[in-house]
Amino acid sequence: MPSHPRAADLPALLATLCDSGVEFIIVGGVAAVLQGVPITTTDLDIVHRRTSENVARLLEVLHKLDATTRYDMARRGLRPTAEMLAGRGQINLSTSLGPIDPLCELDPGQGYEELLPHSVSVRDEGRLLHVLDLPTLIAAKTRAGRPKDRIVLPILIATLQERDRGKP
Amino acid sequence: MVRWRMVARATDASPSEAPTIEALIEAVDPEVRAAIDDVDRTLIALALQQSPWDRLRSASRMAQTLARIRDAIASQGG
Repeated sequence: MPSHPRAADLPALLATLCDSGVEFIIVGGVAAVLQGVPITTTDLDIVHRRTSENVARLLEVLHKLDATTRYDMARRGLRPTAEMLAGRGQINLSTSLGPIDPLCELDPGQGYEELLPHSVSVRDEGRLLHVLDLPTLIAAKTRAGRPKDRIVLPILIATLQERDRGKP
Repeated sequence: MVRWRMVARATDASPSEAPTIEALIEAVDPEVRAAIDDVDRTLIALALQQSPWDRLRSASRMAQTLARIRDAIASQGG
């Protein structure tokens, strides 16, 4: 099984997904970084649209990137399937461009369509990205309450305060 | 020249009311709330001056460097 990088090449991963026409919302650490939160993150978390066409597009990209499941102790190199991507869970994948976690839903009932009104559009270098907005990201991380979420919450909230302060 | 822009909302759909900063702060536990004042705001100001893709490139490079350092330490039995 080929060795994949442990930290994602985030710009390359996002460019590949965008240029392949995959519809998705960026959530997690990358959503925070894109909105000015000074943190680092090793993986890309996305909530993808679960139409059969979009699942097929995402699956094609993942296969091109040699995606296999990340937390498989038996190291069987399991490949993602359309059924997995069309379900309700989250998949932790390793790819040739680093880790990516496609989430069918952020929380139960919080899929692409439900989250889109809570996203901002970032247009940069010719690409349009949908990014979960900071208040929704903060609320999701507060609900999750894991140590890794609690660590970044003060920085997320401070960034929201600073951004708000800078508004005319 | 401004190379990027952030649009207020991705769709015209009317989302449920976005929580205010005060409500978000109220929802976190006291330990997290106390840590908000300790955050270095100069780093945030610097990040906010960059374009989204520049922020992403910086964060990605930093994470890749940290991963390489971690691997090097592990390979030395550290």
